[in-house]
Amino acid sequence: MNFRPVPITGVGLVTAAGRGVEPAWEALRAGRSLLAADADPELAGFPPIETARCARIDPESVGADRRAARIMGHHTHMFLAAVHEAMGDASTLPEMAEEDVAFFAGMDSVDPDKDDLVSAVRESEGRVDLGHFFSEGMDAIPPLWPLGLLNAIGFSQTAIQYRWRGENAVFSAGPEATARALCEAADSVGSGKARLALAAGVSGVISARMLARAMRRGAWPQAGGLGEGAGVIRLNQPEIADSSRILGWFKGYSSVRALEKRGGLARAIQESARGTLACAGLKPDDVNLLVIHGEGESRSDNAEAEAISAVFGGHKPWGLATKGVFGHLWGGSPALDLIMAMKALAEGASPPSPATAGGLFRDAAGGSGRDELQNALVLVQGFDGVCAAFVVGKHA
Amino acid sequence: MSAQVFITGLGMVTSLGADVETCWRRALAGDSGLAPITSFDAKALPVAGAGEVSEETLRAIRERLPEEYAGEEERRVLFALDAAQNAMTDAGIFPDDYAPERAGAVMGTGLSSYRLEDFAAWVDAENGFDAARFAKELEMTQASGYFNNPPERATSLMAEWFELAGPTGTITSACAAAGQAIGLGMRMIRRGEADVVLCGGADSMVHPVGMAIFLLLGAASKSKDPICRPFDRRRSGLAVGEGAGVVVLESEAHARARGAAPYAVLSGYGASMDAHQVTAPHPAGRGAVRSMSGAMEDAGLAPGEVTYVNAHGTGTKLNDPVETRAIREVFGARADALAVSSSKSMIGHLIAACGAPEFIFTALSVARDIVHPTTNLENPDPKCDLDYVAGGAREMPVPAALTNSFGFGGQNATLLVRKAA
Repeated sequence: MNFRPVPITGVGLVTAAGRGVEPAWEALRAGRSLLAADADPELAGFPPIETARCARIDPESVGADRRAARIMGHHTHMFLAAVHEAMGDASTLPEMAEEDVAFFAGMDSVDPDKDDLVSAVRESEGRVDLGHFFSEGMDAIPPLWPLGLLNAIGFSQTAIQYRWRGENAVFSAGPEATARALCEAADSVGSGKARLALAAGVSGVISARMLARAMRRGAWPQAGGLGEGAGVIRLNQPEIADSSRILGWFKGYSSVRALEKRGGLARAIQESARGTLACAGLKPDDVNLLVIHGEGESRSDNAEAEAISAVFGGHKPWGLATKGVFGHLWGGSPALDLIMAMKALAEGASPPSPATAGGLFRDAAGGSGRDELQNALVLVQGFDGVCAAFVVGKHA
Repeated sequence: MSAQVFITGLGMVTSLGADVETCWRRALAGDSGLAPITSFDAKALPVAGAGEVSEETLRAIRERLPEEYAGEEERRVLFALDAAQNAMTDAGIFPDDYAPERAGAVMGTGLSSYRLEDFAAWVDAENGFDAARFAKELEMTQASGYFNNPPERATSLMAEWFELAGPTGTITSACAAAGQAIGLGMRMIRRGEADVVLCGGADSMVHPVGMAIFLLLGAASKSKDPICRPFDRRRSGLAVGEGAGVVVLESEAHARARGAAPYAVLSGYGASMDAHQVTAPHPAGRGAVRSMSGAMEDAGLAPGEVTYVNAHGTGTKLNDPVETRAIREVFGARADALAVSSSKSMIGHLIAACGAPEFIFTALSVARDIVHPTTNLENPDPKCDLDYVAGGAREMPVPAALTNSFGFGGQNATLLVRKAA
């Protein structure tokens, strides 16, 4: 595949630990789970759930103007807060045209405000009364209510705020969407289509309707605790990146869809990992840190363990798993995992590796291991068997 | 040097028909697929009609899909699967013809088949939405609604059916989604990520909430007749349509190795954002200009080499003059020599999917040197002063053509198709 490594020059993160990379890193290093039983009365009818929700964010604190903020929800607020941090001291960026900034995001589905529909909908003889809905009902719905149905609107609002006018796409939904957004952003700057690219991953907002969607697609409650959050990665064209501001390198990626007749999930994870290493020009032994998907569902975890054994053989990298601390952020997880991998590379230290039956990782007994961490491979499992992986490397 | 990307198979479902040749023949004839809505009780709806796929067509689609897919409940998923099957058949390509890990799928689609029934059944007149009861009755949610049809469903089923184990993606960039999906499919092939990509778009917003959305936003026409009039002084808004378009893209080497002849070559993709307002395009068409220019730069073509533009052409007050202005800026003096037409005047606005059937029409124009008309254009808006092919289909040389998809929220995509050598 034609791909060249691109420098990562900024990251932004919002999780249940708070805004920013540091609080998330501290929670991860300490192994301090942010998941707790969720007492929201709206979720009372669902199976018991542990969540790691993000605190509400004042949109004006992240630069949104008051008028625009009126049609933003928590989903967009998390997104904007992560972008705000990733852009950081944007004044240090090289001068460039607005058309030279690309923007890609993987976003989970959003829900319209249900309260606005209450007075618009009524049933007659067990059926929705469409006569009422199309007359008095619609008059009761705020005109901009439809914007709450579209995750692309939060994306557009962010682009408007920063005046980003380059190439773009919104991918939906779940982890594979964000993995694809990362790939496209990296390709955009790597191939010279853009000089700066932002890649984002944004979780859904935990609600009854989000859980309903997750249950109907069979993705929950098997997968355990759920989290909220957003992560943003800023990538530069290599030629214009200020070396002193490079946090790391996005070195390669690959994605594969599992097909049962081709060996199912375990083979797809293997192929995505091997494809990514080949794309990056690395061997398994070059990987010092492996960020696993590790969602806590037995089929998924077993397939991942089998694939890791097959790819790495006797080589044992440090292991890192985030979902036990932050929950599964769906679309937010790949971005969170990449950012935590970058932090580990920068710190030269990994939190305790997850304990696995097969002893897949170094230092499984616990304790922060110090090592010369150079390359991290991040594994992603999306919906319907999509497996992706990417490599990030330390900046020399 | 990037690999050339061949368009080797086409499939589509619109209100004009459920196969490419029928849709194309009727588009050339200027037939309208817009008619009163029949899939739900629309008597009180202040909209005269839509580009709806008929129940008869839907039945035919179910009959020709394999049993495991014929029971799909969501219309856009059925449209996507049928169009995909037709595109694969048209390309003469089967799973044995490619390495699964070198074959991918990218679809553009909407997010929200939000059904009123998924809300109404749990509304308590005194207490609002009864979430506790809802949680225990999820199996009662509409099989055709959004709780049971995540956005990536069509992509996943296509990948499963046609054994596409390579890169996949689902794009939800509003009305630019299908255009971006086809553009991404091209990129996947160019950079060596895949040899074959099945891509396009599918959507259906012809349901009560869908129609309400465009009325609330002031975008839907309330004309007494089910008519869409792009570029006309009397245009009053968009007509909602539904359907799908799916194409087979292949690397030149892969297509040649199996002896497949392309319809045309997909040789340029441009994408941009207006970054202006969520509810209105940039007044100078800044994003549209960038999108079209980007596609031509990507293809290495000059404006003089393009003779046809399949416009986004929604028939809304805002879009049409802005798009006209943008075309003028991109093409300069050559703009007056261009033919520009709007497929939406006949099939309506397929929302997230719109770019896919319009791409197929564009590819056929290039392959066959004929362009379809813009219908219902009787009194041109003075601000819309290009040649919109108003009188009927036109035979003309089409060595290269653009097709535009401009999304609500300001996301834009343009694809450039040129003749195969």
